[in-house]
Amino acid sequence: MPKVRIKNLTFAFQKNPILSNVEIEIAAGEFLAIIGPNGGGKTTLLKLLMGFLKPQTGSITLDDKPPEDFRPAIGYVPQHFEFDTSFPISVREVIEMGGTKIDPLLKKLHLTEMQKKPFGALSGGQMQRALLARALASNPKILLLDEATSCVDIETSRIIIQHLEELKGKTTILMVTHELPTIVKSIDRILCVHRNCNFIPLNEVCEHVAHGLYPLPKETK
Amino acid sequence: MILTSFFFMAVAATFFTSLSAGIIGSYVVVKRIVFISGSIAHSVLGGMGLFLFLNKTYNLPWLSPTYGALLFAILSAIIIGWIHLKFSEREDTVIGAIWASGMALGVIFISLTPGYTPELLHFLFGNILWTTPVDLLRLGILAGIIIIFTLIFHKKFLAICFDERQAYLQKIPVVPLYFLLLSLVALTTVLLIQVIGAILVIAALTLPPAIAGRYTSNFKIMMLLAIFIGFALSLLGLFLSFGLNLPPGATIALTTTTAYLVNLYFTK
Repeated sequence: MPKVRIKNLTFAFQKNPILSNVEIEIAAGEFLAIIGPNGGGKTTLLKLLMGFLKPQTGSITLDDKPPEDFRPAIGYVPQHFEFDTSFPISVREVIEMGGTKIDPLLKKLHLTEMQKKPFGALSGGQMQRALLARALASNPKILLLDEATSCVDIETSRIIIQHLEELKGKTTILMVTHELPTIVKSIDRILCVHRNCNFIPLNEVCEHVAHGLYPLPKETK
Repeated sequence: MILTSFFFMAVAATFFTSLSAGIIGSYVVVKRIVFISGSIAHSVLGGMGLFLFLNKTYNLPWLSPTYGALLFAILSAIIIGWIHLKFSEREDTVIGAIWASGMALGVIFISLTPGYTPELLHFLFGNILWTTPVDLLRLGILAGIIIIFTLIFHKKFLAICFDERQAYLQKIPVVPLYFLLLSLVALTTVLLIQVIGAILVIAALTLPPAIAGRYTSNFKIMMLLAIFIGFALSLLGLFLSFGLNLPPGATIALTTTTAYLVNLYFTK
């Protein structure tokens, strides 16, 4: 399990600042929810953590290594609509891109019956489960999820969160989400990404969620 | 007897090119690099023109325009691959520039070439009925090379076609494999020039796999179907061109595009 360390990071896209002066430390095995407005830099942060984007200043290390050297130990669940649904590939073939021992994962994520189906024929929620299975098939030390429970029904969301809870403590998990109430009981901390990155006290969020006040009031964002 | 021999050669050439185009064209269609392949196919005109100019001006008969086509196809594949990796946001425009500049170079070299150049029409629109046993051997060898590379790298090609980011995470050498795939596209393009000509290559490379893709969600079956469809449509085009006394390359291209459009209408 890696300890994630981001120091004095600044990232701009074509001179438009996306993230500035980010300082974060995430403990090994922690389960972190990443929240923030659209365009705030959540997905950018995940891409920086995988080494697909380079910061203009500052550094990112995963277990004191640069992200590129840590890639085989990273599991990534992208948003399902990034994929070409006409691509001729089965669910099993997609999951096997992560690793070969996939049958227990298929069972756990309720994918066994649909493993021979074309990937493009799955619903959004089923695709998210298949992409989670692909990420987990590589036995990742860090799991990055980009809105993995968006567009999924309550049952699928429950299956995904239950599995993430089982991984908690064994894998470092960073999950971008807009559905904080559904995972607030499972996570360790909440990171709000909006140009800057700030941790929000968990009890404060729980209180808001309990009183039905989520999304958070403006001043906490 | 002579006619039968011509026809047999043409059918054999069609088989080898359908084999290569069905395999490589399937990657082209699913990776959505049809425009890139079009650019490679058209920029070969620059190489043909250059080698034809050197051949005629300096009397170098061994400098076949086919080698010029191969050289420019590989060169443009490398340049386009580099552009894709470095300047993805301006990719389409730059690829369009390579497409046009390759053809422009070809036109300039051809205009500088002394004497009449009947070979040019063969390269532009195909010369399948003039296939020689040496051509056939060359087509067979090139098709063999493409099959061997595909057998070795299929899983990795599929990974980079489906999701490049995941391929990077799996430590698959994405950049070298991408260049290899584009080089195989270049090689297939040069093969197809023999049958259908540089101008019409893109139809034979991409339309049979596009038709096949509408009937299966298994990539290997898509490849096999594309080979069969490409061969059947090329043969049909060849028979029609014989019967109607039309140029074979253009007739094959029209047969293929018609089949694609009809199929698209009935499977929408």
